[in-house]
Amino acid sequence: MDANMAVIGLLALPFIGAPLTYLADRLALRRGDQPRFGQWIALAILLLSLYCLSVFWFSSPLQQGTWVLVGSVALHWDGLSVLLALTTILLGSAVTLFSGSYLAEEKAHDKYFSLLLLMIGSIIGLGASNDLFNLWLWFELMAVSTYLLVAFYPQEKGSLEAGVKYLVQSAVGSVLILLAISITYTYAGTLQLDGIRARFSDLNSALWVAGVLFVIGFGIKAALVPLHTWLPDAHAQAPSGISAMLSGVVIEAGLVAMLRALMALGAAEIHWGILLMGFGAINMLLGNLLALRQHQIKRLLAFSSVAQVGYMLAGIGVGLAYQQPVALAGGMFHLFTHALMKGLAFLAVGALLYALVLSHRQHTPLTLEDVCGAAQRYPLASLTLAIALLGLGGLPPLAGFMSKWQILVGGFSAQTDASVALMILAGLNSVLSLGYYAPIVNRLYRHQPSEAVLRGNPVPNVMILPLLILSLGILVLGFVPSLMNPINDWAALSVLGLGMH
Amino acid sequence: MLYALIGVGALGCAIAAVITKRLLLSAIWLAFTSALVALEMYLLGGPFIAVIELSVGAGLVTVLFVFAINLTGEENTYHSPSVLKGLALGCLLACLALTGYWVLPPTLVSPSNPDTQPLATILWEGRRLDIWLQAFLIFAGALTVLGLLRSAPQETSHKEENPDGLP
Amino acid sequence: MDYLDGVTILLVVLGLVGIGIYTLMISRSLIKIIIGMQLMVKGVLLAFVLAGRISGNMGLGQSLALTIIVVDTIVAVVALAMAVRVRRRFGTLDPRALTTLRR
Repeated sequence: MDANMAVIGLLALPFIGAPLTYLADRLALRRGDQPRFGQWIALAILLLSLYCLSVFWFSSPLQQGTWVLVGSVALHWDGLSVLLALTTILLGSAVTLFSGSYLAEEKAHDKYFSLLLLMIGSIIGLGASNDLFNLWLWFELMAVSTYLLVAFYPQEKGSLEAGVKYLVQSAVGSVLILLAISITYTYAGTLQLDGIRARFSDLNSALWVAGVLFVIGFGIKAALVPLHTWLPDAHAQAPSGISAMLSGVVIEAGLVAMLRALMALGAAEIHWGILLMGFGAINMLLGNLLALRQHQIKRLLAFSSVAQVGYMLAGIGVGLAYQQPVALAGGMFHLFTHALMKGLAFLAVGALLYALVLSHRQHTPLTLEDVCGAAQRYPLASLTLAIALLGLGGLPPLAGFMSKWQILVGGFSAQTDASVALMILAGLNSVLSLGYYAPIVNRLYRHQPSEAVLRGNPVPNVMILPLLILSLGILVLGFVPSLMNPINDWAALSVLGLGMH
Repeated sequence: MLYALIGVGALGCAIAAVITKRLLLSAIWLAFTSALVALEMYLLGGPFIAVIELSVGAGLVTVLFVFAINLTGEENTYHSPSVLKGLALGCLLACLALTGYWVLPPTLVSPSNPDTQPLATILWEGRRLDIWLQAFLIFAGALTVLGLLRSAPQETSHKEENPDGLP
Repeated sequence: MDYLDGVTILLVVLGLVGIGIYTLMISRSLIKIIIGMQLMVKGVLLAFVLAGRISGNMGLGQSLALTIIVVDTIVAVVALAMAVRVRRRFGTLDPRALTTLRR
């Protein structure tokens, strides 16, 4: 199998798997059984995709990437695509493994794994697309496949409300993106990303309008601060596996799509970088301040996602504005570690939520009071949750520290007032974020068990397994962060356009 | 001149769709807007897309709206207070004027690569990835609608073989 | 098509998008909001056909517009299904009633 076959397999596998899982689960439901096969088919598909990705990694000509031409639409596999695909597939496998027992009480989850695979497949494709319109189509497929997953309990008021907010905001965003694409196409006469970059070599006014529309449209998905209002509702109301995917991959996919579109308008690269730095600062500050006020754990984690996107934006923004590959690679590294850590945090909270609430057939949210003393009855779930939270807070031997450190190094080495100020703000925010991460850990370990914990049911082992795998990843990356360096650096080079030809 | 006339008509229908109080009328004005936009497209030299827009945009979508309004029932829709309306309108007009000023093309003849292929080739050969993705979008949309309309309270929960285990 | 016609159509595009956004801002009914989104999409469709005409590739413009019509119809169907569900669960279509999560 050569690199070409590998990427075609990578693109096709999830889309072959999606109808299969639906059929398998639907047939099982019809016979009156518990649907079981869907989960394992999805997991097998994802592991096969991971195999394809590794084949591609070991056989591809580095720096160049691989071009796949479907009709006149080109797909370009470069560092950014590989990073996004790796993140998505890893987190997706963990979520798939986790979700089977989480949904066991639902009895109507035949559509879950199918939509999950569609979402994963569309994110993989989104990372690779080199055609502006095709990029939007992948993006829209991702959005449509998440609408039901967010409103997964349509009989619950909260779930439905989150679904409506998410749908309206993301649909409006996608129309604005289309408007930007039509403006770009009118002026550039082509839809190829590198072709547009070549045409828009000078700054003209249409470029600014299109760029701003791209930032607003993709920014709704990437949760740039004034546009983030759908996020806390959707993340808190979705099933925990989906919260993990939304927080770990979907908002990052929005970010990657925005980067691709803005790099096509690369003549104003420096200005986009400064804009993203500004959004990074606002995101960090507001996300952390709002998270401090929350009582529901999933809502708290959702607001912390807004803050963490701020770090990625800071790294990417500094990288673009001052042409600093180190900061850009740091932003990419943080994208990956954030997916692991926030995915793990949502899954561990999901395991507790399952044990304390869902297995009693209730749908109340999990509050901070509920998890007091959970470590006594649920040692593994609590331990992994603690690892994830401390990692997100940026404590040293964990992965989150390493990625934040790289962003800081990149920012300081740019040696401009703006970047240094931003990095100081980022450091202070990291301390501020411990103000809400640390109390949770404290409650888990040092408080008397709450009533909910005493009444709780056991957590199935198959739900613990993905938690352990993810926390292992966080620990390993904390001690050997250089493992990810080749991918991060390649991704940074692809964004800066150096690895293009 | 013809373009301007049809355009003003389309905008007028759109405004009517917004200000009318009844949802059903609103949907019908949307259909008229759609039809006028289709006519504009036809004049611009896109007969194929005009027909599709007329049948899907003005036909199918309107049917869907009427169907949904039947299900939800006509509800008196009150608008926001007029101060808020005025503010919204002001912001919007300013934004649009600015955008329009910036986007206005300096010239409108720049056929960079006029070696254009026939529509069928472009659609089915060149953009076939788009077509495949549309198929999966329809699949995802169908699953979503099925999932959303599943076991609505008291109505279908007994017909389905998978009643929710939830209160 | 001369320059003035192109400008006219561009203004129609912006007008439709603007009316759509205005609808989103002021309306108090989910179905009205969906109608507003549809109006925006009509504008965008016209923009793509215009772009195809200007860049001398009508076929591409039309095939992109076709894709948009298909995708947007799906989104509208999903949104309407959600509105129907909201009406049944909350007893109203008013988005201001959706406040269970606000705190």
